[in-house]
Amino acid sequence: MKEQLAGLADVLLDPETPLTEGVCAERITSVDFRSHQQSETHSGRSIRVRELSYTPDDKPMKLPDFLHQSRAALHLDSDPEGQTLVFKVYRVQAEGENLKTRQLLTASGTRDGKVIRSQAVVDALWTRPGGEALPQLLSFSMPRLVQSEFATGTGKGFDDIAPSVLGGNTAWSEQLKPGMNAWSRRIDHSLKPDFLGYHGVAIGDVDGDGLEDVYLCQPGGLPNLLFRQEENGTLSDISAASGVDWLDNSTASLLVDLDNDGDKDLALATQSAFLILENNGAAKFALRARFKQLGLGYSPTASDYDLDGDLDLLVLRYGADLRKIGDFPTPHPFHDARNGGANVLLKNQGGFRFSDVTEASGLGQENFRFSFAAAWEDYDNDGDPDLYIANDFGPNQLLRNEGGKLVDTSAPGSAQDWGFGMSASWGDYDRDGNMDLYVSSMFSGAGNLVVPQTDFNPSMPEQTRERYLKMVRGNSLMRNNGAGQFSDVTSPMDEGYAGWAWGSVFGDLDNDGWEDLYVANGYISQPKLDDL
Amino acid sequence: MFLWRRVAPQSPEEGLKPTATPGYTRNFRDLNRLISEGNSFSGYERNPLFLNLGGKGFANVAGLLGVDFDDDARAVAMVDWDRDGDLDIWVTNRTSPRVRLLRNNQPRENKSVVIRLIGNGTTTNSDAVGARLGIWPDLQPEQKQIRTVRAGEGFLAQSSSWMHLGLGGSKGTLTASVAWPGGETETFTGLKAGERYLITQGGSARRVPAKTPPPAVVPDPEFLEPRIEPGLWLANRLPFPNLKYTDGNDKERSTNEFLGKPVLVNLWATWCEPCVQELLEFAGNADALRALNATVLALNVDGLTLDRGETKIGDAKAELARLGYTLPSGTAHQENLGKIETLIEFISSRREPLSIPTSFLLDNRGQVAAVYQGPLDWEKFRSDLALLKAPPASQLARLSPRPGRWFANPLQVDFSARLSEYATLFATNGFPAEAQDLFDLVKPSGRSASPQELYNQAKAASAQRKIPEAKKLFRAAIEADPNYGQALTGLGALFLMEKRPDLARPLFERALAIDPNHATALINLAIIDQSRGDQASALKRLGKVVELNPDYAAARLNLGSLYASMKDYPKAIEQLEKTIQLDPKQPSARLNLAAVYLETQQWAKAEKHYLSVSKSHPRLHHSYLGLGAALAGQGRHSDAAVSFRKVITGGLKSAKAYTGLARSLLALGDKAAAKQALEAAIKIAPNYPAAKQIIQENDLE
Repeated sequence: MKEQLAGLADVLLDPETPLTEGVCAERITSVDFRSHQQSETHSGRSIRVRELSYTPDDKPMKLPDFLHQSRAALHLDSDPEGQTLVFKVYRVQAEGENLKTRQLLTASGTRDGKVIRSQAVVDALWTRPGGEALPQLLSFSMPRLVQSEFATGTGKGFDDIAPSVLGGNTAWSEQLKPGMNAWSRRIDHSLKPDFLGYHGVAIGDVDGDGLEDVYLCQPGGLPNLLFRQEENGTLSDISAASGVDWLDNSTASLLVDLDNDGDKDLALATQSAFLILENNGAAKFALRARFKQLGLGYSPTASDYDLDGDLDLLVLRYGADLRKIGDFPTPHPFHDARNGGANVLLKNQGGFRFSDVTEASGLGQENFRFSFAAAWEDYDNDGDPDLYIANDFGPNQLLRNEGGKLVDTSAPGSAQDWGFGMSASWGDYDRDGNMDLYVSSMFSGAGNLVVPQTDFNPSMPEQTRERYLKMVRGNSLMRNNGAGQFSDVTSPMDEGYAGWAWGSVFGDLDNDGWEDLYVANGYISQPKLDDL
Repeated sequence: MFLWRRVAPQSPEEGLKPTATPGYTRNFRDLNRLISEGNSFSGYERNPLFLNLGGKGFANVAGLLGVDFDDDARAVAMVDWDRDGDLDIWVTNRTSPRVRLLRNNQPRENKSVVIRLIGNGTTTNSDAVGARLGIWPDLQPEQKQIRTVRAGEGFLAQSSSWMHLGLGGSKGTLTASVAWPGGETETFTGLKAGERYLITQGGSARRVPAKTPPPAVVPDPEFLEPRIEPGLWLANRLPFPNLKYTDGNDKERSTNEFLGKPVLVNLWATWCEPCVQELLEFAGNADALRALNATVLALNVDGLTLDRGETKIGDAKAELARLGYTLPSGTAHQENLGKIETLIEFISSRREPLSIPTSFLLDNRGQVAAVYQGPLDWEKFRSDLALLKAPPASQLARLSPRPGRWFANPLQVDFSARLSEYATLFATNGFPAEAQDLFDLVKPSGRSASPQELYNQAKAASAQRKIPEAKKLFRAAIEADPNYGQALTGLGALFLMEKRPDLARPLFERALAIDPNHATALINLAIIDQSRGDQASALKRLGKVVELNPDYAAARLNLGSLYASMKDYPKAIEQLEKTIQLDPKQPSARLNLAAVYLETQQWAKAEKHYLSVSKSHPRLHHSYLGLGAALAGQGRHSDAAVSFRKVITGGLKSAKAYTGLARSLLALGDKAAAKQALEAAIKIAPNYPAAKQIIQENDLE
């Protein structure tokens, strides 16, 4: 099927390409590409988005007409150079004597010199011939097409200016440019040069000059990097002078004021310990607290959960203790793993003393998930921060703050998303005054293909299969209806579709007053392209 | 696909102990192995940017905006870095480059307001984390937006605490309300679009001028991932595996002969230009090396199988002569390369075929101090040689590729434990003798070994058929941890191998008491049940293992064999076919399956599987015995005769083979030869009934 679709894509991209015999039937049942309703869903000065809804009753048409019309609809009919069309199949099922596939179509065409991007979910029907013969396309159903274009056509929407702002530092060329595929061959594994590249970034003004600075965590054997922003926006490496050039494998950090003296202190999750350093106000840091039992923490977050006027710290633990055994802990069971590390909440007692309030706060309940990240937000608008925890291999957790007690609200409608939770972020995307949630998880084409098949763990109860199907669906947009209720409003192949997603953060990137999202995506790219 | 085809469907419904689900655990381990062998896993996926369509959904426009990078991206943090009123994005990556700063260049039709809140430091933390900001245009109060100050969100990231609010097309002044954590709310009026404000609790909204924006972009159009200089310095030196090689006079030698002085073991090939350059440099510094009491051993790998598949054989001796290389040299042996790969796997966690050139710097005790995957220049070589005897502080500095500070000193490790892990990897990779030698180094340390270490040592001893020692070690592991299920089953399996089910059984039962689903214990107890004729119990036990481990070949094999012995052939075939599907290289399942097909007279299918084993395991001569029977069953007697003869010429003294041969010869009409074959059969087994029967039936006395 993949080959057939690739063949079809080639023909649509370039009419000169001969269509391999047998790819398509003589007549294709399809939407009438000329009959549609169009609505502009976004009309910014930089970007326009429109949605085309085709008349639902598909009709047979001659193959050349189908090719001609679909080519025109996707704006693939003017300039074969620079145009692209890709089908990604993610569902195959029997439909009577035929096969039905569902695939994501993404195309990049041109019209009047402008790039037009198209995205649609296509249902296709194929013959199921015996023997060596390949399936033949019978119908092509595409009820909805989303097209976007860059309105100005001048310049790039964004520029990667890392080389410009970091280029003056050897750390850029020597440390940050090479990827982990290269570094893993160059650093003794016992120093934990984390091949998976779980290293984050924190933004904060460490020297009180009003300019944001940046702290980057690094794999074991390479020093964490603190860069001070200069007046002209470039960065200077002050890691060593500031005393924060830790070589221990580090995942993430926070630049937060932990003693309310007005400067940004540093909380740092390393493989060896969770460290807390005090800033003297001039970007000189001194180690003030260390938690050796909290090695291998992830995505620390700060919040005054008990509203006593200082910041407390939450450290996620993923598979903390299990990682000692192998490269990757084995989650048990895969879809509802209960053998992850225990997350820890540290209450600020003043003077850089912290006490473990995991149990006292209520966080200790169901505290065995593979937690990668968490985000605090007052989702019920009652004045205190509540907590959402994104967990890999199972359900995420929403903990409501009730006077300093975190109460698990795992009930229907409680935003208990299920999947490979990688991270979560809050934003009022629909501006109704309630904070909504966007949860990063994993869309898996392979998972979508395999899980619905009856030979995928045949003994599995139906409820488990449904959970698996949810697990492979991708990211989730959970709308807060007010009154503490959430509904899953994800459009799976729009904002739900990223891939293997990690960080995602809301931000109004075009200043139109509506918060957009940028999503970090992809797990492990290596020379062998075959996907595991 | 591997994750969804092989790992996920093996997971049990409920969380079980790892001993209950070896199939699942094994496949997860295989997934890790495939990653370490250089496979991609959801790689080259592009980052989306989802544009908010006015609160009614999102559209991915990353491609249009040029931010659809196919990096393995991780953390995302937002900040108006250049203070121009729009948000820029910091992203970290696993792949090169490991960080990007995406500056927003979109045309600014709409203004924004950028606000930072400062708490009073007593009732509210000074960062004002948790404070809720509401902001609305005075002319359009319905366009209210909210933000909350957060510290840490998304994955491993903290965005700027300056809150950025785009204002769409709104006009006029703005009002902000701030609900400070704890209850108090303040309102600030008269804010203007396009400005930055600091709002202090109990104070005012102070306008902050934006500082000079950054200079023009200097993009890196020719961005290339830079090469990192080779040279991995080990935190804790490890014994170098003793490599055998052939010297220039065809004499067998070993790297152990260099003990007492530092040596650089260099792997090179005549077809590898960087190797040749490197040797030229070593040759030119031969005197300096001698003065340092150090040397190079150049081991040629021409003709050996390496990652590039090059097997070209050049004249290594002539090439060395041409280069003026007079230091020690020789030819490496293929079977030793796996040991080097194991060493590299241990120190880099990468499991890849050896690349050329690779060099190992060994100290005078034969321990690896450094590994260079790539050409090593003379200056680096000389300075690393000098570092071999340097104090720990200098070693520590050389250890990390760039300077910094350690919280946990990596030189202070439990070295015995590390050595034990190293030994275990050799055992896992099929080098039990090396593993044993390394385990021997661990023992005299005086420190008591952990149960896991003892278990690993026992496994290595067992792999080398050092059974008494293996038993001793398993017992020690059990003594150290009486609930060590795998050690119990390991010892039990040794007794079972010695046909002592009386001793084995209680051990397996103890393992079951710890984990009632312990797969290995269940399988072995089923074998004991079967030998005692209790097929019902065996069936129950194996059924349980297969249910929990549908992809565990060993369990299916035993279940299939049990069904075969019960003459339930359809079920035997089902299980054995599945076993082969799971583990195509394992011959036992095929042999058992083929035997079932013989029993059920499905000759062609039997032939197929016997043929497959005879090809994959030519020394398993009895596969020809079955093959002969399968061919005879199809009336292909001359082929059958050939197959039976193969059994005999293979050295297997088999009355069955002679008898089968005789039958085929008779069918072919060669009575004399048949008679001869039957005589041979009777010589091996004087009362062999099948032979006697043929003799009588065909009157061959």
